[in-house]
Amino acid sequence: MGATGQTTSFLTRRLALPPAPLATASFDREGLARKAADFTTPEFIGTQIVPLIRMERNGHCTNCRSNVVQNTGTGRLTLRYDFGPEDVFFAKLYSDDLGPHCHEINRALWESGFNASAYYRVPQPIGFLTDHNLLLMRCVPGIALGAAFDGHAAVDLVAGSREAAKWLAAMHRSSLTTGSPDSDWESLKLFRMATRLIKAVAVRPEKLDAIRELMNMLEKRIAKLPEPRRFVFTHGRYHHDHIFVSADAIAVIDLDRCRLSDPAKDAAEFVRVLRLTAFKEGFDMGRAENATAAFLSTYLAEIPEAAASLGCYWAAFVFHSFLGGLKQGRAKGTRSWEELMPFYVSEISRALDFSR
Amino acid sequence: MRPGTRFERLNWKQREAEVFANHDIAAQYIASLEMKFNGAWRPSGWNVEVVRSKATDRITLRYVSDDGAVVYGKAYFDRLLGRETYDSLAYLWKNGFAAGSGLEIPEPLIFVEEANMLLMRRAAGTPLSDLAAAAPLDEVLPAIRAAARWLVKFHAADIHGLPIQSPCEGMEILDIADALAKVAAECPGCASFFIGMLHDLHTVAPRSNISVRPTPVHGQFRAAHVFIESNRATVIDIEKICLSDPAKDVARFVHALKKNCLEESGDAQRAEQLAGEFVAEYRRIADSNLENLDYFRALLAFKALAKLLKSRKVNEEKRQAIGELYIAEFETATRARSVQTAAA
Repeated sequence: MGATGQTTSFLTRRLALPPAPLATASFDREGLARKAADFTTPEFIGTQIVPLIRMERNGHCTNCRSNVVQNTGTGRLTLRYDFGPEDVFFAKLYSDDLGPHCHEINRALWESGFNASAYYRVPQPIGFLTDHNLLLMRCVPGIALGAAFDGHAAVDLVAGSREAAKWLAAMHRSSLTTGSPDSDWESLKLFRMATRLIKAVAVRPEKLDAIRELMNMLEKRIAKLPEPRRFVFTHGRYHHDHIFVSADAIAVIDLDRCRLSDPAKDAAEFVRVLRLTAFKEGFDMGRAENATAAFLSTYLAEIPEAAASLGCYWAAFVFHSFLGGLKQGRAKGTRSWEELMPFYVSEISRALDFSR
Repeated sequence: MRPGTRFERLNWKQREAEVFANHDIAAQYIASLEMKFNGAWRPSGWNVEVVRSKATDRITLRYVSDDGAVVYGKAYFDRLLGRETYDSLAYLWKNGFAAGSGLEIPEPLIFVEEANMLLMRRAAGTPLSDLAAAAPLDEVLPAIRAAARWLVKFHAADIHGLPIQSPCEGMEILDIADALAKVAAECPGCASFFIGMLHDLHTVAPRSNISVRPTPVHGQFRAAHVFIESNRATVIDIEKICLSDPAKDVARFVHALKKNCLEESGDAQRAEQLAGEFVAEYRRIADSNLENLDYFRALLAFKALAKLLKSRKVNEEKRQAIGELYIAEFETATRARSVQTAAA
């Protein structure tokens, strides 16, 4: 560089200032948790939750067990209300103005056919408490597809992946158009990728050339994305922990990021997370290959146009994940970083070669 | 993405510069121009010189005949780029940018296939960059406005077959990421500062792929490429023409104007005034093209900052002075959008 010391001195004054809040910064977890504590009291349940459920059930709801099930710093917190085996509900508490939008999307999907009378479903929206920014939904049936990685006997990864592909194709064929279309730089996570890149090379400068080479290959692939492309209604966080499998239904949760976008985005996310989880957990990679093939062949038979951009999205998401791992340089699951790194690189190469 | 490796392009340039400087070969290429000059062109009596050779993928040559006729030659490394550039120039020349229109391009004369070189007349007048640096304001302001009108006219041109810049290429996020990564690898302490700037850049980014209708974009529109003679503006160097966001050209012009001023210790207030005049004139005629101007202004300032921090040619005092001004420019652009959003 020109002079590392000089540059540091030039920016010293500015670096001494408190850092600007970042897009990826954690939201106020503690604040949300305090708020959520009020939502688990008998008084709140009796005055706010029960009336909504009664409207839906037209019955009595007493003896509720409630608890916080997720608060990971994303600005959203999930609560569980258990009124008995047939009456379990989840509520999502939002810290921003996304709540009403998510309620609208949930309802639109439900009303468009992803409901209790269909095989492919979303959670039933029960109501939205505007004053509390809280979305209440009925629990979906089944077991998460991700349970296959824990050896759950009732879930078959290959068959479940095939069904997941069919659910996704059904969503991508729906006529929903709620919300504004995604930009390519958002759907490919390019700003977040740039942030991770800077963090990664700051910690591991010796990897700069290798990372730039990978990014250069990715950039060339992105430049060749077909334009214009047909956008569809996408899920936005489509992976095995959000897909619930049972004999009667395939149900998908977490609809917060649904919007019009490139359909390849969802398919790529599913494949990336499935394969990386399998590798990290020391799962049978032959089985993971079969699940990948089952998912891709089933999905692309229904949505063939997604093939043109799928490799690009797949490579971008693996690269994004790779940068996150590189910064930490830590073992994950059963794998050391020395094992994970070549896996990431081979996954990127494989994705870049997909449908080239 | 440029074709070939940097090494291949440098080799080509070295080889071709020697070939083009050879009288016999040049005479053969340009002999056919005699007709265009009504017999004034005498291939036996001329000089050739390489006038610009900074870029690795093209060479600019000037042929001057004994009686003063001047022809510029542009040779290209990329087999397609020369022909495409010639076709674009020929189209523009026939569709409103010819001599006499006031907002012009140099006349394209011929494309020499075997040399992958286009020949054209020279642009008349003084480079706007020279006027911007030194001319009295009452002379330079009309010239600045003429440059803005040239650009509006160019952005409105309907040129078929232009390459379309993909939305992500147009945004240049991975370009800036690459530049920042190189600095952050050697100065890890800068990382948090860059990440904060990236976040601010993100906040002014367009919300969708199609926020503005793509138009022909010049790609290198800056004062040094605009020639002014009286009320006539002639613009050169259109190799990077493609369909993209028109605000990119406006942002680039403003950025280059200020950058030259900063790097040559010029009058920053004057540069600000000229830039403001340019944007105001453009906005007066084609306001809707400028929706993403703040993003591109911030992007160019950020890229220039990264390049400055990496540069070995600048001393610390100058680095700090220029760096602070790039940061100020970046903050002005990102804050402008925040204020607009709040007001809306």
